[in-house]
Amino acid sequence: MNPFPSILVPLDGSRIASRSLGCASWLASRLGARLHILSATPRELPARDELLRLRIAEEHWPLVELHQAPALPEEAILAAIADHDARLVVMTARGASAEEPGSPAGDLPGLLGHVAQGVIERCAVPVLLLPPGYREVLPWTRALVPMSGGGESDEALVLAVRLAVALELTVHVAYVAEARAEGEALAAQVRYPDALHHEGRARLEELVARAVPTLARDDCRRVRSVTLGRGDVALELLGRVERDPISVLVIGWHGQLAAGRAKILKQLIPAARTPLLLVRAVARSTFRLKVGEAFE
Amino acid sequence: MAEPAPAAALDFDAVILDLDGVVTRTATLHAAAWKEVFDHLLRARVAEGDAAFRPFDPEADYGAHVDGRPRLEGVRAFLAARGVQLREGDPTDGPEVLSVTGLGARKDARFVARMHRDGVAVFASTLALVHLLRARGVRAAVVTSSRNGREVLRVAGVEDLFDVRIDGLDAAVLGLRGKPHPDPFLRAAALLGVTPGRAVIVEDASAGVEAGRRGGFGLVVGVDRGGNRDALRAHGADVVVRDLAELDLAELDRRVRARREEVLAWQIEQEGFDPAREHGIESIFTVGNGYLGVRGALDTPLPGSYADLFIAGVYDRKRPERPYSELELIGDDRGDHAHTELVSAPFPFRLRLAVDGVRLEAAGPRCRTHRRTLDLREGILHGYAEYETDRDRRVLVRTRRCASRADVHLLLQEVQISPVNHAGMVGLDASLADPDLASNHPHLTRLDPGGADPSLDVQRFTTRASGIELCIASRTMLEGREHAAVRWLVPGAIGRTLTFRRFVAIYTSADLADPRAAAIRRVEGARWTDFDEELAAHAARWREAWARADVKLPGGAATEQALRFNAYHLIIAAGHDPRASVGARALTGRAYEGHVFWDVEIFKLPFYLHTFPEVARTLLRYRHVTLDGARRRARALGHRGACYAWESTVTGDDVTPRSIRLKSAGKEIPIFTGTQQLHVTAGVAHGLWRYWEATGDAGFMIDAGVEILVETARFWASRCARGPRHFHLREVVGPDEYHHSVNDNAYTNWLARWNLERALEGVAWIEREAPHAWGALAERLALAPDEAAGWETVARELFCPPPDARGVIEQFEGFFELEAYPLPRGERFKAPINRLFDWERVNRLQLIKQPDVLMLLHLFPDAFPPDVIAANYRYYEPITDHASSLSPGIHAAVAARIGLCDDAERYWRESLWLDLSDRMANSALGVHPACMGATWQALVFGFLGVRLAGAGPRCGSGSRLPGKWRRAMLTLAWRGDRHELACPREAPP
Repeated sequence: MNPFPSILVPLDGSRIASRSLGCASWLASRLGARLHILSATPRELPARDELLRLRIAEEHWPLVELHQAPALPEEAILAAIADHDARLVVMTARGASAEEPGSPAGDLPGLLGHVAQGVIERCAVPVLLLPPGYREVLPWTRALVPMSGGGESDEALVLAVRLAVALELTVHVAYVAEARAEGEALAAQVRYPDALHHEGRARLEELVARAVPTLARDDCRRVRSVTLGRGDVALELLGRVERDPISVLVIGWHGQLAAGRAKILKQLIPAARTPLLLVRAVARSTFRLKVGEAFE
Repeated sequence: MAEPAPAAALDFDAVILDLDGVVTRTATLHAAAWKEVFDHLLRARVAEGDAAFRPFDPEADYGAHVDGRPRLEGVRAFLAARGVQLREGDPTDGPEVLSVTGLGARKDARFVARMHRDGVAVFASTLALVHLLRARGVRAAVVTSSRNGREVLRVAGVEDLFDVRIDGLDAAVLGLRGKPHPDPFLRAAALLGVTPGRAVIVEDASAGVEAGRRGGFGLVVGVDRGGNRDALRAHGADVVVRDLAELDLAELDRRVRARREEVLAWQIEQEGFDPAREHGIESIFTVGNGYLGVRGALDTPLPGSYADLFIAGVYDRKRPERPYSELELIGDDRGDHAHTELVSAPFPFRLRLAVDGVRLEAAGPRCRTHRRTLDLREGILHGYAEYETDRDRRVLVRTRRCASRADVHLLLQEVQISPVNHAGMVGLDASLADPDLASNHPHLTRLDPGGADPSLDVQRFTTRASGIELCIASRTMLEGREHAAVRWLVPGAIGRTLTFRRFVAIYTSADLADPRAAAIRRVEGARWTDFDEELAAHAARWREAWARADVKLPGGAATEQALRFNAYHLIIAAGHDPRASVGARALTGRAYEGHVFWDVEIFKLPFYLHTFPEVARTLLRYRHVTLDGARRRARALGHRGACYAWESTVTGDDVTPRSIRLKSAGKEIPIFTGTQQLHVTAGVAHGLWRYWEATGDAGFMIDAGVEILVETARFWASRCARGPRHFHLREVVGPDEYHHSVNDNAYTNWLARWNLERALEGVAWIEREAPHAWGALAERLALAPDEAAGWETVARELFCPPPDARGVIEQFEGFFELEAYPLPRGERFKAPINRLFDWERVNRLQLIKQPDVLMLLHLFPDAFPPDVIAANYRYYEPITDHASSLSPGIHAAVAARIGLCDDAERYWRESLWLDLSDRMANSALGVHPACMGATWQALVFGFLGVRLAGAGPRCGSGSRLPGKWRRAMLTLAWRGDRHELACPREAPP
């Protein structure tokens, strides 16, 4: 099943923002998706002219729906996501602000524009964020999913598997334990080289199995490896991306970039050269087993 | 001036009232109209030579036959009561026609004339209550069978008081069945926009009260205007009043809350959907009957569901991909043993639903609301889901399923599909074919189903190594259609419910020679109405079961609920076939490969013994059926007699893995339990003797009990090794499984000695009471004349570690000298798995997994003074990591006995909610029935301090009830009688 039947690409008119078109066009083409291009232009051009200006290959034109507007604040992008029922947003981490000194910046000055920050924080659909150091390598072959045992990473794994089925990718799962464990817990971890396997919630088989009961067994076979690491999570993931190499990092997150939050993502955005597919956890607050205190 | 305090919110959203007798006083008008019509008819029949004229009684006949019923049903009921036969007539029949319909029209005409002539009186108290309710935001509806309902409301001047009005004409147009069917009330609730549980029904007729009860409404109020109180109660009224003036808002609200608590304490409800919790939910929502268990997967199972059907005693060779105790632990191959692993068969409730080709799946994106409710009282799993497909099309799907307790080979399933706001084609595919059989059910090979009736779905399999044939036959019907079918595509309409019913029969070649023929025969003749009868028979069996097993705790509804959940699982775990026993996770999951352990006799048996002694007998018969396997094991270990397998299936041979492997790391751990955990043998003898004490079942002792005692005593006598001063048991594993190859484990030695002593006692009894039977048995067992004397010597001289100066019993030789291990709090209940892998190091630590010495004190509390029990509890409790679900319940029982109330309550709550809270994070592979049994024991023998004596069970002198309970009430079986106990909070000495 195609996880992204409709893709939105917001372009603020900057050269940097237009770097997302290559990847977005390729995805739309491979997935048979509708590609909504939201282009900021001072005055509306004929569609053909605008497509030529954006250097979109003619073979992709049948997939494209072009929408032009004089400016693209984050509200306009969020409204377009809803209007066009977009299931994926593809955008660069920075746009015009990178080219215009003095433009407002987000919480990662110089690395993440305020519009991009607003979109990834506020929209519920996944965002394929192209970091400042992005290098386009197509076609994709491998997706890497960092697992944490939380609901966010479960969502990311489910989406990664669905995407892998649609794009014929392999999925690789990484669990990285942070190196800040101390005392008894640390002693337990170093007792065996594979000690991480043994620690409660980090039981990976269980972790993966618990994450994907909604997926068909054949689809789950896309998960080709489950590896362990220990140390700085972002560095471990970046090292893994370079070694294998990985085409896309699929990251579950909670949607908040405020101070003290999303520390790993804040490390990845400036350093990564692969696209970051950011997946928000679906609210599961409705689940309730009415027993014990919940009953009383 | 201070503002008045705002009124507290009421705990219900709507009230639905009957009209006649509740809102209006039209009963006299109706009764007079009926009397006029019926008396005219009866007089005419007398004139034609019929029996003497007996007029219509406006009180007795009105109440018994016509009140609360649709008009024509009232005509039929009265005529039937008087033996009058009349043709049904045509719907167009006017008042002048002598037919059922014509009489109805005649009564209607008389009623309308009287109403307009005399007017309609109302009950002022009812109107006052409705006004008050509406002022508090409660919506109101009136529902009546009367076709003149709207006109009555208009004439009475109260039409605007109700948000929704449904009368007999509406019901006819909407195709709603009359009371006692709940249809009109349910429709009113839907129109009010409330769920039945949030609405109150007010009725004065028995049929209406029953409709309210059947509809699952939050409260049913009966209004008894005279002489009808008992009937209203009998049909399900929660409260009966003479007039609604007796109920103010606060009282009504209190009644609703109390009723809700009562209802909730009998059900486990889950709302919403969380994929990560689904496997665990499947375990707790298992339905079963001892013969089989079906996990609570969705009717449209997820691709990754463990949607399994387990049949007691159906095992096959171990499959390498299946887990042992945890998902990541795999047991080793056990050679050619063909009965190593419980077989998971295909899910027998599988459905595929669609509306206009759009699949309806509870875990899918179109599902807006999803709820599953396990009705513990009747053993039925209910499902409810609301779907929204494209263009806001809404569909409601209600399901229910059960594993019949009346016929253990039968499963029942019902599906109701209701398009809310559109008409569309409804598709239901009831085929049970699993698209991924090889992966989901690897023990099975599909067989040709044979030339069965194409309206049935027949699935036939054979197990690969054990060669057992299984057949599942399913027959699905649609209400209103004559034929059955596997796949349906039928038009749905707004407001119309399509109801499908399925009968599923399951047999194996272990039951009879031709399971296919039996399964087909069971379902092929099933009629639509048989479903109701089968369901009623099933529910009746559950009511019988609860009369034996329920524990009532006034003031402790949440605890009652959890206790009932536990009892439910213990009840569905055990059957009546002595070839099978209750596995570690019963028939609810794949863990432990379905093996039978020591926990049957030590943890579960006491529950059965005092609730279902016949089930306890069956479980002990299993040990007799598998005695040859135990003999083989004793020989294999180089000893005599019978040594029961640590893990067994149907043959009694030991199927314990020799090692387990961590799937992700490939690391192997040796398993010592299979060769060293011998105490299971004495545990069987212990269970047997408790059964004998509780039942006095001499027949069982003669047929099986003494033989087991003799053979187990023989084993111990040959296993014990003579030392300079004592006999010893060396190289064993005790209940605490962290220490292997230990000598003189206190628990094992005490139980072995006890086993030898009881064998001597059993032999003395049978020699005295049944000398011929004993002669034949002794000859068959080749029992030497002096053999029993040898047991006596071993029992006398077997070293049983005594309490030391502190009162502490050493768990085994040298335990006190082991290295101390300060156990971190975080390692309790969910011990790090590397504890298993670090078995050599753990073997050197004073760290235990579960009660060992405390287990001994639990089984023989009278053998030790309270200060010794307390000393051992204080010593061993802090070094126990509770990595077994068996642990907290026993700690609770021991702590309660010595008055450590806080500890007892804390451990008991861990044990009580272990599966419902997924405390061990492994309920996905099945629930923990032994833990449930331990919880029950801790309550009965710990908190309540129940003593079993000749006169029958009695509450202890110092019952220490946890929480806020005022008392506990239960029934215990003892020596052929059932004894009702009511243990107050502090029982008098």
